[in-house]
Amino acid sequence: MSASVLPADTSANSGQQPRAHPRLEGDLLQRTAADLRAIVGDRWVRSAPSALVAYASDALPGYSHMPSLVVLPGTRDEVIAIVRYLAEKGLPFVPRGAGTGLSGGALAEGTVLLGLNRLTRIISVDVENRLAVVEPGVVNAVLGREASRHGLHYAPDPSSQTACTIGGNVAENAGGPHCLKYGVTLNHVAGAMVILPDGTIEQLGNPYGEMTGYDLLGAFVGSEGCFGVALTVTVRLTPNPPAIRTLLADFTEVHAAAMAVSRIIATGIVPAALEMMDAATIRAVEDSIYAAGYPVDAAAVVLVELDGLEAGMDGEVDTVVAICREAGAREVRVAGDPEHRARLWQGRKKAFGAMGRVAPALVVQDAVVPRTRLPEILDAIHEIGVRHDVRVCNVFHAGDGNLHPNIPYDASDPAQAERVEAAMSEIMQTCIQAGGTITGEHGVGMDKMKYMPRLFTEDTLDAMCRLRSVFDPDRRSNPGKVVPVHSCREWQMAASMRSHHHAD
Amino acid sequence: MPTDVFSSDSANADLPAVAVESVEALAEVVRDTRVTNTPLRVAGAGTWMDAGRAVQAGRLVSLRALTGILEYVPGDLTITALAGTSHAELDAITAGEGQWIPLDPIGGTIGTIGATIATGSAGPLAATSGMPRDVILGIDAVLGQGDAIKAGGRVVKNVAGFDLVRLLTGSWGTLGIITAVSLRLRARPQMDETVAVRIPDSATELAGFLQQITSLPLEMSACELVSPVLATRLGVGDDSAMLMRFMGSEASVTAQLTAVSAALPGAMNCSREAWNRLGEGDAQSTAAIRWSVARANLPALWHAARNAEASIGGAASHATVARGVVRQVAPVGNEEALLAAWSSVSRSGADTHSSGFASGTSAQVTTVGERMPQPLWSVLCPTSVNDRLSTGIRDAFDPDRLLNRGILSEALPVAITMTQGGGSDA
Repeated sequence: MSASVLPADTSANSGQQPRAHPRLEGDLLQRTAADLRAIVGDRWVRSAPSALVAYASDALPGYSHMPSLVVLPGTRDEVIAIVRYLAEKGLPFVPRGAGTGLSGGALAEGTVLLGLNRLTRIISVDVENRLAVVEPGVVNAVLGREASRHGLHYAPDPSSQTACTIGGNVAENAGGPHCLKYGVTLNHVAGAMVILPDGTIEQLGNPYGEMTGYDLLGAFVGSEGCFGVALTVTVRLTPNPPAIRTLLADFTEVHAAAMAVSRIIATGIVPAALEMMDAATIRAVEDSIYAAGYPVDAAAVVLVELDGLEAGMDGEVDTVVAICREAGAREVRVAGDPEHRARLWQGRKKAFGAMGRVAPALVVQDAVVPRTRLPEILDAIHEIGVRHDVRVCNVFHAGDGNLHPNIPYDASDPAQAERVEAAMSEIMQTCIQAGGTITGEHGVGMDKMKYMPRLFTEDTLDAMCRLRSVFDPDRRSNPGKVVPVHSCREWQMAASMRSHHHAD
Repeated sequence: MPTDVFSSDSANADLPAVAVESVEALAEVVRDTRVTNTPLRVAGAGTWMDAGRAVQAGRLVSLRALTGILEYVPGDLTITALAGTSHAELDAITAGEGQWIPLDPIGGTIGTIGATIATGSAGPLAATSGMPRDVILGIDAVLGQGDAIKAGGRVVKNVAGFDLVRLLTGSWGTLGIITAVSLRLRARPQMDETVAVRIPDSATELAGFLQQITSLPLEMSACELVSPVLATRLGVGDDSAMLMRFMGSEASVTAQLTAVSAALPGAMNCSREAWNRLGEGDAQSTAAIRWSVARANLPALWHAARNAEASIGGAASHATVARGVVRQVAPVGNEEALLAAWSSVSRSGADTHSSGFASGTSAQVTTVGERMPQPLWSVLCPTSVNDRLSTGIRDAFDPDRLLNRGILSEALPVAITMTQGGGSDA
């Protein structure tokens, strides 16, 4: 599984990738900007450095990549016209939603950035069939609010849900706390109308019946913008559970909290969410404007949400409380009413924001490990942090084994930055060796590409490349992301063939 | 190579067969297949060889001997098994830990997990537990060029790289041969109870009835309609009935059973055995088909299917309510009658006024063949893999169409039809 075919430091941002496409600059940039203005109007093409800087990073600090221009279509027809124009000119582009990603996936260096967050129409809500058709720029929480008018909700709930868009969620196969019970974006997308990088439009999936043929929709969801752009997405809506309880247990040892998590999972109870935060995160939250009343002297808190029918709910609550106490919880608070539940959640949902206030830079990881390994992995992460003299904050989806070990640091201190990088590399290696993966919900993007050859064999990476080539043979849509291009055997061949084709 | 050396009968019963016991041996078989240009028929337990369209093959490779558990940590609620492991074997192993795999494809438990994933097959539990694409975590496979890949992983959440797992699931062995799978498990429930209740015949009344069920405080693990012939076979009466399955804690299941008996006085408890009988599969010499619609149109589709049933004779139907899927099994013999009856169901959404399909929602009916006399395929369910993307994917993973050639009725590249010396029957 861990056939390391490449040195781990061969990353996208190291400048070692062969550039497939020329930089968009000079006369070409001027012409392109003018042509795109003719499609969307002057207002919606940005090329001044002062405007571009807003798009130079996503929610993951530490990267700065300037696009050559940003184009912001307002309608589906404009998106189609833009993609077809770029196809005709052979220009690469990077699709982007709200820019809340945590993998550097929506960064464009010297190319066109295609912003989709003006496409905010909820086209239809079909209550009877529990389906909604939305444009890609619809904000996750806005869809949720619309669904709630009908006693329904959209289940995937990334922490950034008040800002992130459905199009971005589809591209990343986004998760969130409640994915433990309800599944990730993939499980809630029934269909999509997409435009491929060559400008053709395809209907993927079948919202009104069984899917037939290859699971093209499954391939598209989570393709990180490399397979094309979703024009509309048909999502499934889920009935609201009649009863919900939120529990907060606090522990004096991280290991004990992790044991409680493993034991809850092993009972077979499937909580709607099962989250954990360590002392460093709790303190960051409680010191911030998002203070949620978490016990600041705790080594870890575990947040459990149970939902379902009222009947049997109290029994499940009792079981979870007993497991937490047995594992060593000092106190377990149970909230039933929406206000108190929201308060318990507040700190968890805003943890990333709170951490951002601790230090100017933050490394965010997203590894997943088998759930029985959580206690030992958390011990190992702690040890790695101590050894490299960095401060690891853990806030994560414990029930899924989806870790978010984050390290706030000062990027202006090169020695510190180096220690952070070394610690992260070791943490990732530990998770991979435990049978885990490098990303559970944030995507590979740019940031985790260097770990891909540690996780997948050469043949597997090559198969991924071949799949990508079906959707985007020229690699113009979000180039240089997800799979290191040198892992693609056919890429070198295709590159030479492409120059031949262009000569035709 | 001329076509006539290839077996094209639907079961490929006369093919020379090889059983592989390792991934290396399988990779060798696939590479050899390329060298000799002899298309390969992929088989699991061999119980469902008459499913799908006719396969052109010169050799059969069986995965049934590639069996066993590679990793099972009960506390993780995941398992990794070789593709030839049967559902029965997996049931036995996981039951020992109070767990189970939430997949119940029709066809009996001697079928292999590799075949279930490869065909994307699902049963009544899929309504709440999800389809194979929702349950699968990782796939090891040998692709059409003989390269072995390991896609996905063993953890329950994973977005690393492009999704080869979803791509291979339900691809009917045409992109690669699955050698191992990692799956999510669930804990066996404290209680597992089933209730049967008679359902009305007319589409309108059925719609009202289902609406009433939706309003009850229930979390059904499965909810299946069965026609009278099937009800009799399952031992749940002689009328059209709905089977409702409740799995969970004692408190939760007991409360739901109480709610059902209060709302539906005719409801009767029945044995879990009914589900086993439904899952056992169909009688010999039958054809099977599925239609699916938006869930609001399920009553209208059910009505159309029941009408078809009446005109065929000896047919039986069942429907997974939450998925809007109706499945019908009918004796083969009179192909014309079968074609006429089944075509009428496939077209039933076309006239929304007369057929009772809800206005304002898509009346599209999706038809999926399972086992059918060969001439019915092109009429009832034309291939869905001749679009540009699907063809490109096949080109990328099995360029020579050596794996289960024809099972999806894919158009063959000109180079292949020419070497065959004849046209494709696609």
